[in-house]
Amino acid sequence: MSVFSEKDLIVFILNEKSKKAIFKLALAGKCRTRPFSLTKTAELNVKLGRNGSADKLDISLLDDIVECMYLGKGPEQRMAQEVLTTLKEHPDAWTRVDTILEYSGNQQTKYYALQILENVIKTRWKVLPRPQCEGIKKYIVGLIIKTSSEQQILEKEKVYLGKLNMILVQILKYEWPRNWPSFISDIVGASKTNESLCQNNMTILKLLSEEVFDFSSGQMTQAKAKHLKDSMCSEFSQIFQLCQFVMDNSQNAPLVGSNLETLLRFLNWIPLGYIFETKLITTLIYKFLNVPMFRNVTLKCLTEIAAVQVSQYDDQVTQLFTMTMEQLKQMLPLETNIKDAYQKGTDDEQNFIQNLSLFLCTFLKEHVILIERKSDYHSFLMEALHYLILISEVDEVEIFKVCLEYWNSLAADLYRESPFSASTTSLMLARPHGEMPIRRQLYNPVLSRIRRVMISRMAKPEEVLVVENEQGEVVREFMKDTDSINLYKNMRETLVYLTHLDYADTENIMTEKLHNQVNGTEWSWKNLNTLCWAIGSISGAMYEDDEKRFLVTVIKNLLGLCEQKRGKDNKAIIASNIMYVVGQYPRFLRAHWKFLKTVVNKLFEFMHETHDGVQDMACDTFIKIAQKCRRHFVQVQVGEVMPFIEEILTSINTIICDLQPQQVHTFYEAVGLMISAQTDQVPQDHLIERYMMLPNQVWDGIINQATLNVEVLKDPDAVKQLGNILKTNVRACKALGHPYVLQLGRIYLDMLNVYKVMSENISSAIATNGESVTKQPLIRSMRTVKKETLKLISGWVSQSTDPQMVAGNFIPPLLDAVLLDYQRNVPAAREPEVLSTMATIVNTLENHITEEIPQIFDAVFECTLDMINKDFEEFPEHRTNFFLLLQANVAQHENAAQSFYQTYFTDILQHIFSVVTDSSHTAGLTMHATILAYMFSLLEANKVTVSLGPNINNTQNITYIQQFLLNLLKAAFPHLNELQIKIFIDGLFSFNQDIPAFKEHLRDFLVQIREFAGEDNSDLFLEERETSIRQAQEEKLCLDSFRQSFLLVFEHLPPPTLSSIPSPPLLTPTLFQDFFPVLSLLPLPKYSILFLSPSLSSLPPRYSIPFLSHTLTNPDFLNLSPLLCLLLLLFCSSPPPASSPSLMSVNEVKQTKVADEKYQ
Amino acid sequence: MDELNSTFASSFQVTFEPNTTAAPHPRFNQYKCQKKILDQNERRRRILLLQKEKRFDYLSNVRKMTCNDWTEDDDEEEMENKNEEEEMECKIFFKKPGKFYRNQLMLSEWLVEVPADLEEEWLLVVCPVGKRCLVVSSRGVTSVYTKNGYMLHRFPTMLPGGNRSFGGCNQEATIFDCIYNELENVYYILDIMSWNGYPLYDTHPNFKSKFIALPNFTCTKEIITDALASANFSVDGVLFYHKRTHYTFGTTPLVVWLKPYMLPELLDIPVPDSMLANMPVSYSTYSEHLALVQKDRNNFYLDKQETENLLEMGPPAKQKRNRGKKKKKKKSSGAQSSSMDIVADATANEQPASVEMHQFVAST
Repeated sequence: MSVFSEKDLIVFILNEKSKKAIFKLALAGKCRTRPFSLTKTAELNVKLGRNGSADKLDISLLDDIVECMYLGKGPEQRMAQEVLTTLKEHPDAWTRVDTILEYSGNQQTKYYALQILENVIKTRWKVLPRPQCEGIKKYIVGLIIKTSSEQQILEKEKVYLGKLNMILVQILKYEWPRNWPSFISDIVGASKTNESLCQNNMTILKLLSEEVFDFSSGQMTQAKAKHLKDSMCSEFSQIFQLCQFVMDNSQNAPLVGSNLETLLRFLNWIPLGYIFETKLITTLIYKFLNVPMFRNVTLKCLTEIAAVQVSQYDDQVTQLFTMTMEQLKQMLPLETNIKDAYQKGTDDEQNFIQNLSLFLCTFLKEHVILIERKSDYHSFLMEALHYLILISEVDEVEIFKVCLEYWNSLAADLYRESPFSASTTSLMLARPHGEMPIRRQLYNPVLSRIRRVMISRMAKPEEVLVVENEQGEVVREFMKDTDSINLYKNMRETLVYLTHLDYADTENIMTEKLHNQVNGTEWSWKNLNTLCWAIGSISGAMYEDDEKRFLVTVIKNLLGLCEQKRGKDNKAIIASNIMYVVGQYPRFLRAHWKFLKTVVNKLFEFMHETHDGVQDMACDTFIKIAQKCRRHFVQVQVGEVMPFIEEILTSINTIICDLQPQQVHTFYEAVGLMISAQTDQVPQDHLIERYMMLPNQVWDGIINQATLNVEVLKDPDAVKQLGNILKTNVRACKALGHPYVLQLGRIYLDMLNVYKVMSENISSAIATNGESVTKQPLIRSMRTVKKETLKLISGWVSQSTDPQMVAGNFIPPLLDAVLLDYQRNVPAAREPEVLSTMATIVNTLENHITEEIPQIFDAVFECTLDMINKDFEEFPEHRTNFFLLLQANVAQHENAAQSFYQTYFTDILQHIFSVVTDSSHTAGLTMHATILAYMFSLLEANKVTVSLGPNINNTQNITYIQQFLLNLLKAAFPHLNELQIKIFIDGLFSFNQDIPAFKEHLRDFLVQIREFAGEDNSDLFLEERETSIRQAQEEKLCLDSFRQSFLLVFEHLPPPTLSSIPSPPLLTPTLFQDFFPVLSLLPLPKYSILFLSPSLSSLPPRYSIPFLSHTLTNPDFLNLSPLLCLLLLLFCSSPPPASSPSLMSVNEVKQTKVADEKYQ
Repeated sequence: MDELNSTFASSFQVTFEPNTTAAPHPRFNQYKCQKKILDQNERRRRILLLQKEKRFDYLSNVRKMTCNDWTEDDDEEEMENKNEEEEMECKIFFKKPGKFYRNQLMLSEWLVEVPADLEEEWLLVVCPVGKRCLVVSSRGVTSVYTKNGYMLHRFPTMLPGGNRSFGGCNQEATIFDCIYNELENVYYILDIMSWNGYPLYDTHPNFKSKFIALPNFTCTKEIITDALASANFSVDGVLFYHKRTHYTFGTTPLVVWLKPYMLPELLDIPVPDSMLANMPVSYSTYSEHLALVQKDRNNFYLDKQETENLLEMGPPAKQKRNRGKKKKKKKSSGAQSSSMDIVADATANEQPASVEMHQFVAST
């Protein structure tokens, strides 16, 4: 049997490589099943088969190779793989698929054949002759029907059938609905004939739904996906009837299961009537929810329904909740210990708990108001919350995150509604209303339980990673963005809200748990850590007096615990927890100098402690305290005769004598922070001098010796010491900022000389011994000296406040020392930091450095380009820093920018397109999209004032680039037709203000270049695409003019004060509609986001910050959560204040900020 | 708050070390230690006694350090630490050296109780400013470790075992206890634990390197004054070694430490003015708070008496419990004299106490 109708003799000629591979395989005779015979190999060589004559295609040989591929090892397996890959890539391989499927006895061979077929469908379907398409389609349908008609075969051939289904769906993506309009009726009709067939058809429908609705991005063009979605919706009633029929009548469990799974995929897109105006909900709840086999999928379906945002089906939604709760209570009694049940449960039971948490959280978040409204339903609400609390105790962080998200939104809601605590305090301002708001009354009983949950499982607030850096030193890195830290942030926010709602309750729970540590009932390292993180997390959430009382109790208890416990390990853990808690409460420390001093002295004591980790802990806490209380160390405190910093400087030698170099660096940064708080220059200079005395003495010693004999700078000890001193300086500079100039001036010229000597030493070592010498410890520490020098200089320049002085005094010697050296050096000895330092200088000094720019570029441009233009991998750091430098230059110097465009614009375009269209770089798509969008917007906004091509003027740049790209892409992808490419290029301009849309547009193109388009354009929906691109362009231009008028308006407004800002807040959608009548034509809020985010970022902070505060406190806007996210993102991207207080409300943030500024 | 400060400052420690030099000198510290510990003289007496009974396998420890082989180290350390937990407060015990070069040095306490036999039984070493470190020369290289075992430097030296050109014989090995002065790049030798396999205390090797041995002095007023005046480096402080102490690990009251500016007050020894310059501010305020300190001292004296009484009566572990009771009583009865109380309690417990004493000796 053959459905393929090709006439020519098809001969599979394997390439030379695989011939050899098979030959070797045969010689080795190692194939597990049966050794290949040489004749057979030769046979396969010449022809794998003739038209219709299966005897010539040696299926059993193919089976052997496939088996070898799956079961073989090492070289054999690699050879087999090579043979199979070659075969698969052969353009006519697919014509043999039917033969293989029919005659092969091996499942894996069949699967392999199907892969060949799938490949051809995905890429070349449109260029296959129609009869062949029909043939393949019929053949696959036939196979599916054959395989799925009997329950037994269906079970047995599950994987094979799955692949067949997938292939059918791939075919459908091309054929349905245009060439196969009756597909839905066909499949629904066929389903009614046979239950197991029906079961598989359900799977096909599920796959189709997933392909069209869930995973279409990057797999088919947006226009096509839309078309398929519309088709599916319009024909959904037939499918729904089938589902309903099965649910009502079938007794066949696998069929029903499959049916529910399919339904689940439909629920997020089907028209709402099918859900709420049928008996679907009741059927799900009463018929399937309590059947163990179906409860998980049913609960998922109910969750999908609960997530639907509707307003016209309130009754049904309420019913969904009450009925589900009724059922749940019978299935899972309210007194169940869910934590235990989960731990002991099967996978299925564990999933049930997870699904339950998702259902409850989804429902409560979307529709809780419907339940709150009627007191009859309050008992259901309490039961639901009860379940959620029990589930929150389950030891599974992913489930906890689900619950946490809900608790967070609940706590935030209640706080915003009425930001007053339930507990009273002597100091507290009288609450405006005598009693709790009604909603709070409702939730109050559960709030305490939520507090307990948060306190009992508070996440780790900081993560330290010990890593080896490129110089081979072991260093500790503080991780900023880990899962655990994000979890901590969310938990802290929740607990802070909850504490505001009733701080006395939080305090009671914490005190109780602390007592349980002391009396031993809950004592463990983990529990103690968790509790102390929780205690530290609510810093600032209580009134100062309450906080003091609480904190004194906590510290006393912990000190008692430390004394009571035996063993250094125990004591060290308790000590670090004490220090953690203390460091979290800067307000308390600032208010109690004697205690602050005691703490710092104790930290100094711990800097001599030899027990593991204590010194690190002491240094980390010291710098944390220095950051938050720095001013207190430079002022004379009550009862003291001089500022504490003087005492530290007197005994600095003794304090740091047992610390490791890295810890010493941290210590220096901390002391530097204190000194930076002394704002009078004379005393500050005096402090800096004393502060740097120790490292300067050692530095001078080495420099003096080196002056006598430069060979000293090859002594490993001396080089290591220099590296350490420079690192100390880097940290001092980081802490001090511009005033560090005093110290920098002292060592500057010597340092640059050392730099030159080190560089020469490295160069000559490489010249003599080759590049491998860079791995030697001595060369590595020499490079450290160079790198630290550059880091020090760029670090200081970026913080400097007097560009003229920097450019005049510091830059010339730097350029002398560094640039020529960079240029002359062998590539391996060029430090990438040279480029980033230059970028920093250009960025910071702006026009003060203009004259030196040619000098810089002469030295670094060509030789760096030469290093990085060979490929995309070598010298990654040089690559990045090179572009940073270019960017700095382009941003700062208009002329340089234009000549840069002239030289590189088209080159860069070409390079980026070649990377984008290479499938191995899909991970960088966002980045590429951003760059390209920026480049096209430059063009469109006429920012490029020079001509980009020969014989044109700059007004023709756009046309030129369009033509350039057309030619480029036509040459690269000859299988695309011209109209396709043109529309793509138009889109590049239209979407250049909207990165996500731009990205999708690129994705569409990537889909297209994988397919051979042929002559038939109808499937590409080019017209539709053209229309939408035109629309995008119009909207963009419209918005552009809005933005400009918006900015204009603001330029003419007087600078706002908090009270003069037009109130109510400027950002309400209604206000916009009033302000710019045209805006009301646009659907909000989508466009207000588009509109606002760029406007805000271009607004000066004096406008944007009051904006933010208004927005954050305006409940209307909280509903526009995407907008809020965007705004927050926008502001988060600017550096946060040194100590970020727990974010409660903007007012508090402001207060704390003021307080921080006052104290620093 | 004051109570909190006091607890925080005085009794908050990870490693229990009485009179630790990491903290201010107890006599000049604002916060008095709240823990009841034996006085320094008594602890000295006990350690010297114990030293006779118990031998530490120094040879094996030297082998571990020179071969960097710690595999033999076992649960013994754990065991020891467990014991340590039990005995913390008052008993005397030997600390074991740590693994991997941690805690291998003999460290000092502050000199708190001036020994009566200072002139006869003690030696003085004037110490330069620097980092305390352990220098191990073996297998062709010399390594320098800080007291917690971090390797500070590694380089070849002319010390036996410290240079590849010597042939790197396994037998050759040298271990020093040093003070490293970064500025001069000099290692001042305090003690020699091993020299080419055997200790050499009297003859100081004459090799050209950055190692300089520090001299010992007899502890008479005149010699100390001269020694201080003649020091040719910047003086950090003075160490007093008891002549009969073995080399032990960690802090011991048989080695005590004073800063130069404390000498006039504690030992009535004048020091050059240059050495008074480094006196910390908190120290200079000492005389202003004399009255306060005097009061403290009275309390201290009481405590001392209390402890002495206890010593006569029985072992401290028991006493501790008694003291707990005593405190309660004290509160309830108020007016009663505390020393009376102790005597009564201690007498009542005399019998079982001696049994425990026996166990204590056996277990150590």
